[in-house]
Amino acid sequence: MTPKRRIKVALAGNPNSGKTSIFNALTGAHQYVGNWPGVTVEKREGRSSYMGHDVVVVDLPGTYALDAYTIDERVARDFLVHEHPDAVVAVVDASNLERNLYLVAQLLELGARVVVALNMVDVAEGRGIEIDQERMEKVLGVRVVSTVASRGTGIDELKRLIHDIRYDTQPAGFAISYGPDLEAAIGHLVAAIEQHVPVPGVSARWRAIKLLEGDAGQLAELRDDGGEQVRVELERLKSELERKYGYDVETAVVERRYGFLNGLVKECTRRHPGFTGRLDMTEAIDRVVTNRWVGIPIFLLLIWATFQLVFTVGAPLSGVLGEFFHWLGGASRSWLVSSGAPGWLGSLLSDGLIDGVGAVLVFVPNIMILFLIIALLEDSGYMARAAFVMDRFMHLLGLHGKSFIPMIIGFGCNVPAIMATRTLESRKDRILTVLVNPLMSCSARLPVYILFTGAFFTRQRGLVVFSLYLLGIVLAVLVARLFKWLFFREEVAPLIMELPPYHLPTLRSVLAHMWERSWLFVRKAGTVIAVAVVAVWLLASLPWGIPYASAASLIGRIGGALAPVLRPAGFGYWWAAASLLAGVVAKEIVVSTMATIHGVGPQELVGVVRDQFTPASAYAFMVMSLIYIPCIASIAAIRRETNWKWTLLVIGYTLGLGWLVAVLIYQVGSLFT
Amino acid sequence: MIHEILAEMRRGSTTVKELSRKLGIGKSALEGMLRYMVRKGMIRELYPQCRPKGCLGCPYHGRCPDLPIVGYEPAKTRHEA
Repeated sequence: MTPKRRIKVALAGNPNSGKTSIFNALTGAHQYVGNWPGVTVEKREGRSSYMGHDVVVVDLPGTYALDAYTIDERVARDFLVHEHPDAVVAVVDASNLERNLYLVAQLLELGARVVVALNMVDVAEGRGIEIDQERMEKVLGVRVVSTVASRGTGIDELKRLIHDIRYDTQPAGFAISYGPDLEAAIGHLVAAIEQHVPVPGVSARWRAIKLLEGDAGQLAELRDDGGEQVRVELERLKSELERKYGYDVETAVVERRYGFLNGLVKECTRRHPGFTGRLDMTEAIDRVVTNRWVGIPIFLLLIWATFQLVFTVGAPLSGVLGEFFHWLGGASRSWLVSSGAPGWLGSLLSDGLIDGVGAVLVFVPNIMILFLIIALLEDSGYMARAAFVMDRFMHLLGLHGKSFIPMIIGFGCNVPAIMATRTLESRKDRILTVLVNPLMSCSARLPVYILFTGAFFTRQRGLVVFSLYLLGIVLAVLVARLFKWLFFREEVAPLIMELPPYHLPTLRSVLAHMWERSWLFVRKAGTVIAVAVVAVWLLASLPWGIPYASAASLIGRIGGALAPVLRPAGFGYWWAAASLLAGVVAKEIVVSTMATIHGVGPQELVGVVRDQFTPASAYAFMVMSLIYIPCIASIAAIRRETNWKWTLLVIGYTLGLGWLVAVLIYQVGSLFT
Repeated sequence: MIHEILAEMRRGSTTVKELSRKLGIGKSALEGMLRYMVRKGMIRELYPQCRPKGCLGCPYHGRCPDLPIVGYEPAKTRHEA
């Protein structure tokens, strides 16, 4: 009869391989949490019994390798080397075999008694991966058990194997063949180690490989053990190999280890021929949307379709809101008059607050639809592809593709986009991206576009707004190219991108994103815009006694001073100049200022614009609104992320560029209209 | 294989999946190699975690790290950060 014993089991595995689930399944409620000696890494230990044996399970920190680069790796390795567990359960995520088997290979090289728990086999099967367990057992020389720890599947079999392995001998000489040169070097080192610094219970071959890999822990032990001869031999062998390879020995070892695992996985797995799962679908879609030739046109087509939807679906809803504000303005004015309130109060409430704020709020449906589509594109995984295809395009222009992500965020709002540049490592990349970000058309510009396209381009609204967004992107790329040439001349590094699989966005997540961003817009209308509207109303009413919003008012005088500069762009009106000036506070205020100055609601404002502008000057005005000076919040963000020098440059160049492009468009456009 | 990855990178931007197909390496193994290369300082990861401070008040607070892009670039082009 087998004597009752205490079996010490170590649980090793990659992070997210399901190690904790296996630990819980093996130990149940009998767990203790502490720290590993000398470090703040959590140590979890559990107990159970199997066939009368006391089983102690130690959960090692999740690691990808045993290279002692990180504290977790060092803790795991030190435990395996110095504590000599009776068995090691290597938890392997069956859907990511090669990456997980790398650790298994290192455990086997170390000479540990390993049982492989092929966990999450259900996920692997779901991806069409079939694993030949017997073949894997034969190649690795260890027992393999399939588990789905979250459901408790395979745990009894795992317990049985742990019990059995206790009485097994070492795995029958598992060794990866590292090729003739490396094997010769390993052989020399093994001989030297065994002669000069043998350590009982620790594989000399494993130590030799680790020394060749430049393992700091092994080198330190060698120094402490007085292994000078081994060190000299090691240096000689390494320099010989490096001369031969042209690169470091560690890389050579890692390459060959992965080469072995690549072969092992090919030998032990089969992709189910009839599999048409999510990954294959992702691949099929990616072949089209990230294609070198059609990727960018598809991206542009999606932006165009977005604006078509924004207008087609949003227009009727905006109309209803417009009617509501029209009614509200009239009703409140009548009520104030009938209740004997002073005239100025009626003007403030109706001409100012209701018309001004209402002129912005009517666009909430359009903005919600825009954010809904952006959330759908983001959550489905498409935005990552957009960044990838644009990366190729931007590299052609000598720019960094990474910068395109903050630029895409800029479609929503430039402030978070400018802040998102923090994710770029290089300061120069960050500054460059910040400098051009205000050219990305944020949602606050949308009210201006909707107003003017509603007045002049009703049939091609989507196309016209699409052209403005596109103009923003093109200008951003050109300006970035110019600034790069002027300030940051250096090579641009290519990228390897990780594209996440596509997935169907959840309604909850998409709606939450849409609501979060739309609410900000509404809140802004109730705070910043309302205050600005009151300020504009005051400026339009002062000095007392002049007709409301006349050229003699304060705002009329300020606008009048600026208007001549805007005349070449086709909108040299004092109220247009005043609206643009007020728009520096927030771009939505351009429209609300127009409504407040004219004392009209959103619907009548279309008529005012139609009377005063031409199609060419309307387009030029939209372009000016797109390009000229960023809003105050963006300016503050730019200042925070850069310094005053770059901030002033942004203010200066956007103002100059906006004027120049608007003038060009108006002058050229006037030739055809 | 690691040198082939670097050579492919020098040819221009690509994706992990495309690289895996071109080099005939499993995606999971390729990711492991990329991690090794990061550790060795040959390449570096893109879009690490956002700085914990500084995003307060940002409507995207806490969402920057969720940007669906993780990439790598050669570390030898590292410029002052």
